Amino acid sequence: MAKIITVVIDENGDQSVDLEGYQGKGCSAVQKVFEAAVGKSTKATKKPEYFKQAKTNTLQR
Amino acid sequence: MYKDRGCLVAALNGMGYNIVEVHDIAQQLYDFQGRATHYLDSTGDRANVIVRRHIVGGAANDLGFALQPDGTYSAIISEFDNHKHNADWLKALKRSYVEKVDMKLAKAHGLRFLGRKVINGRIQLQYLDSRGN
Repeated sequence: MAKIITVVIDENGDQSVDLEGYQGKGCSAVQKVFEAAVGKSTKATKKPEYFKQAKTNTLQR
Repeated sequence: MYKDRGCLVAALNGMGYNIVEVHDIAQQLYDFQGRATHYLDSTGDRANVIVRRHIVGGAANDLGFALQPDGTYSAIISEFDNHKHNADWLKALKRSYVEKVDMKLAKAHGLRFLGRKVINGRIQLQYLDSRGN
C-alpha cells in the first residue's frame, strides 16, 4: 500500500499531518519530520493501520 | 517559532519583500526618519534579518527579526507599522514559512512531492513516501 502524507496548514499557520498506509512506529517517525517546522504543535491523525500494527505486536509477545 | 533563517527570508520574499538583509551579527534598525529605533532595547534595536524601510514602503520603519538565545527569530515591529504588519500579516507570514520548511524537510527526507492545493483557505501539501521502511 502506498504511503501518502498529507500536510494541512490552516489560516493561523498551524499544521496537521494525515498519514495513509503507515503502520505502528512508522507514523511517529514521519510525524517527527514535520514537527520540526512548527515545534510540537503538529497534530497527528492516526489511521486504523496504526492500531492494527500495535495490536499485532501485543499478540506476538 | 522561526528557526530556519533561509525559510524565513523566502517567506518574506513571498510576502512581497524581495530585498531582505541577512546578518550573522545583528544590525541596527532605523525608523522612517533614519533614526535608530529603541522599541525593545534602550541601546538600540538590532536584528539579524531585516527588511529596510524603503523596501517596506511608505513612511515605514525597518522590519526586523532578531536571533534569540534559543535559536529562533522573533519579530521587531514598530507600533507605527502595526497596521500593515498586523496579526493577519503575521499569520500569513507564518503560513508561508511553515510551507517552505515542510517542503525543505520533505525533500531532505527523500519524500516525493505530489502536489499543493488550497482548500477553504487551507494549504494542503501531499507527499509520497517510497522509502524502504
